[in-house]
Formats: sequence, C-alpha cells, structure tokens
Amino acid sequence: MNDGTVELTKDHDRHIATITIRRPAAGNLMTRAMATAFAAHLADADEDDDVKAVLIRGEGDDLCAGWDPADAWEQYTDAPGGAVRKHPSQRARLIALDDAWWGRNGLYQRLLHCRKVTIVEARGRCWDTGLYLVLCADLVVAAGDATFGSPRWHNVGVDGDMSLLFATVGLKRAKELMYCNVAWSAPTALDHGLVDRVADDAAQGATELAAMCASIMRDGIVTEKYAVFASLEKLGVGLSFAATTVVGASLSNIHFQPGEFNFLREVRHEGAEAALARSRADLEIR
Amino acid sequence: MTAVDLRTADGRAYIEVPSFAPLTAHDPDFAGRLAAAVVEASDDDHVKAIVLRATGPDFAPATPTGFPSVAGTPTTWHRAFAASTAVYQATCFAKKVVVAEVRGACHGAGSALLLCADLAVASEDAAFGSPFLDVPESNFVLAALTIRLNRAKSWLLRGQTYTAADALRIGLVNRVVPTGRLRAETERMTAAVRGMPLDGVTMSKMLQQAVYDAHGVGREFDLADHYAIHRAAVGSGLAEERA
Repeated sequence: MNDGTVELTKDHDRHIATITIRRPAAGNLMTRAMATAFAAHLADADEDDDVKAVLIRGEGDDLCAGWDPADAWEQYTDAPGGAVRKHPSQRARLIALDDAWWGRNGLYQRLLHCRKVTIVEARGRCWDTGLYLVLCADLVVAAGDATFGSPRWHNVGVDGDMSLLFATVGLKRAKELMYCNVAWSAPTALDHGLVDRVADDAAQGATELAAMCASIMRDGIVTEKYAVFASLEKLGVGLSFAATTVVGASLSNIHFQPGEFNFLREVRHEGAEAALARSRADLEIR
Repeated sequence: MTAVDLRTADGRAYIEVPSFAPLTAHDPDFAGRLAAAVVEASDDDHVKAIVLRATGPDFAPATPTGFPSVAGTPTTWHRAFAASTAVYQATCFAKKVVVAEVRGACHGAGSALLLCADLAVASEDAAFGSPFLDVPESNFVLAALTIRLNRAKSWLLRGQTYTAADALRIGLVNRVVPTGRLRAETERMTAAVRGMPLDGVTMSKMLQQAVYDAHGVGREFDLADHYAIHRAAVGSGLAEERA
C-alpha cells in the first residue's frame, strides 16, 4: 500500500501554498515517508516570504484516514538500533516516533510551529493522523461528511498528544474521543470547537479563508503566530509531545490480555487493511 | 456509618453509596473508605472502568459543610480530603477510566468529584451546583479545563446551578438521558472502555497524568490546605464581627 505522495504547489500571486496528500485509494493513510515529505513542504513554505497561508487538503474523499500500520513496524526497524534484534529496540521506537511525528522536525511540530497561517480542508475521514492535522492547524473548514476521531486509541491506547486536545475541546469531550471509541460528525465537531466552519463546499470555503488570511500583512501574521507559540509553551504542549513519544513507544510493545483484540498481531497475520477494517467496525459516529 | 460498596463485574468496578453528600459534610471516615475503594478498583487487573454511583435519588444533595478548625486543617482534614492519597486525587489520578453516573442533585463535593472523573453520564433531572463555595479542595484547574476558563470563573464567583442540558452544552457531562436509561447508558459507555487493552487503558491514564501535571492540576490540589485554612479563618472572622 506504500504508494502515497504529498505534493506542494505555490501560488505566489495569491501568497498561498497548497499541500495535498495523495493516496486516495487508501483514504490517504499516512506513512513515515509521506510525513517526512509533508514536514519538508511545511519547512519550504515557512521559508518562502511570498507565502502567507498554507492550505492542507487530501485528494479524494478523505483528508487522512490515519497512520498506515503496515508502515509503522518498518519505521522502527529502520531507525538506529532498530534491526539489532528480532524486535526493534526501545531507543529505535523513540527515535522513529520523534523524527517523523512528534519531535522538533516531525510532522506535528512542523505544522504546529509553522509561521504562516495553516488551514485544513477537512473532508471524509479525519482520523488518527488526520485528527492531529486538524488539531495542529490554525483554522479548519469541514465538509458536511467529515468525521473526526482516533480509532487507533481504542486498539492500543492513547498515543497522541492530549494537551492540544484538552485545550481545544475541553477535558470530558476529549476523553470521549480517547476512551469511548467515538468519532465526531462535522456538526458535533463544530459544536465542540474542533472546527471553525462547516461548509457545503469545503474546498471553496477553505480557499476563501486562505485568501482572506493571505490578505493580512506578513509582519502581522508572523507576529501573531509567535504569540501563539508562546501560549503553546505555557500550555505545556512541548512537554506533552515529549511524553507522547515516550508513551507511544511503550504502547508499541504492549501485552494483550486473553480475550482482548490484539491489533498488532492482527496486522501481522491478516495485513494492515483487514486489521484496520476490523478494528474500526464498532466505531460510533456521534 | 454511611456504606461504601465496591463490587466488580465484566471489567467494571461499581462504587455505590447512598449519596456522596458525606463528602460535602467533610466526614473523614466516609472519605477514607471511598478513597480506599477507588484505589482497590484502580489496582484490580480485572477492572478497566470505575463507576461512581449513588443508590439514592440524588448524587450529592446539598448538605451543611463540616469545616475543620484552622489547627485541624493540616492534619486530620488534610489526610482525608487534600492529601495525594485522599479521595479526590485517588479519583483524578486513578489508573482506570472513572465514570460518574449522576442523577438528581449534585452539589458541593458531588461536583468536585465529577470534575475528577474522566467521563460523566447524567439523568435529565440532574442539577449541578458549584463546588467551590463549600468544598475548598475543589480543583479549579480541572473546572477550567473542562468547561473553559470563563465559565469556571463564573461558577466560582456566582455559584450558579447548571441544569443537565446546560451541563451537556458546556461539556461538564458527556451524555444526558432519561433517568430510566441512566444505568444502561453507563453500561454502554463503559463497554467501549472494556474494548481497550488493559495496558492501553493504564498507559493512557499515565500519559493523561503527565499532561495534567503540565496544566497545573497537581499544584492546584496542593493549594487545597491553604484554601481550607482561608475559609476557616474567614468563617471565624465573620463570627467575631457578628459578636
């Protein structure tokens, strides 16, 4: 299934960069290579003084249906110390999670600390990685069919950052996503403050919002973004991202009790696609 | 002596009391037994979710508070209500997912306990009073994280009572159902928790605690003694003024 790309285009006349996730047949499931490319595109846009807003979208029906579990194991074995024994070392798991996802050069930190206005066009499944794109971006325009959640947490435990989720939607609502095997519909996400707008035409809505943001003076945008970065530090987001790396690495080798659905074994025996389908069968959309 | 009943079934622990009002009355014996039940359930490998339930018509009806003397605050009162091993921190930092099942009146310590729970199901007749007037060990940081800062300040300063519908709207509870469906909804919610791996539940709660610490939840609990002493001092000062 490793056939995805992430594409960057820039319209300097309109001061808008667009990052498009292209793996539509697989719901834009994200791999490590795609996350690395995504982060590099964000760095490119960040360095380009003629870009003021970054529009993030997915090709096809979904923004991003999650993290590709077929790729997850390989990222550990490929990391330094990952191929020393039959199972990747703990340090390899930590390094892999830090490098591609939660660390200073990882996808989520890059997006969270982008100095341009970041806008997500949320359509279809915005799950796992898709949910974090929504949380780390500045503004979100959702289509009516968009759903938001992290079904992965039901299978292995909560391996994502909590501080952003708590700050965005509140404690008890965050915990509904964390513990209740629930994803939110677009109207629910709007009601809970996870998205800014629900539009009949999300593509048009996100493009208009990007154009509006790109009309703001450059110094104003970057000044406001640094104010946000200061607030994120006060919220403890950096600590939370580091803790997430530690817990995520631990959760990659958890023991399952008798009778529990062993997602990791299911991936090994039945393949990622079948394991994902089975693990998400009971997800409730509210 | 108010009964505190703990039973386990199907991956859930049920902690049942007639009501949680003795916590508002600052009954140290009740608080100690309640904390012990939470810790026992939290340590039980067969448990993934802990349900806090009142068997009477109200989760925590309004009741006179039993404030300690200034001298008694750092000792007896601290051990029962403010220490890291006391009931609120035992609930807030439990290793399992804690669900408050609320019907009827929820005042004082009932609301303080609700803030410590991870999830909450309420009946349509539930009403949520502010915990901050009568329960100095209430955690304002949890309130701000749960219902947002502006509403938490209003709850603290104005002491208004939220209806169940309001509580749902502001994120204080996760579900509101007719009273007859309350237990069924709790079962449904905890069934989802049971579907998670035990290691996943425990590690998630540990990560949650780290994030709580970053937000200052623990430090707010540490200030409870000071709030209680202040309250005791203000109380005695008012009495002197009246005299």
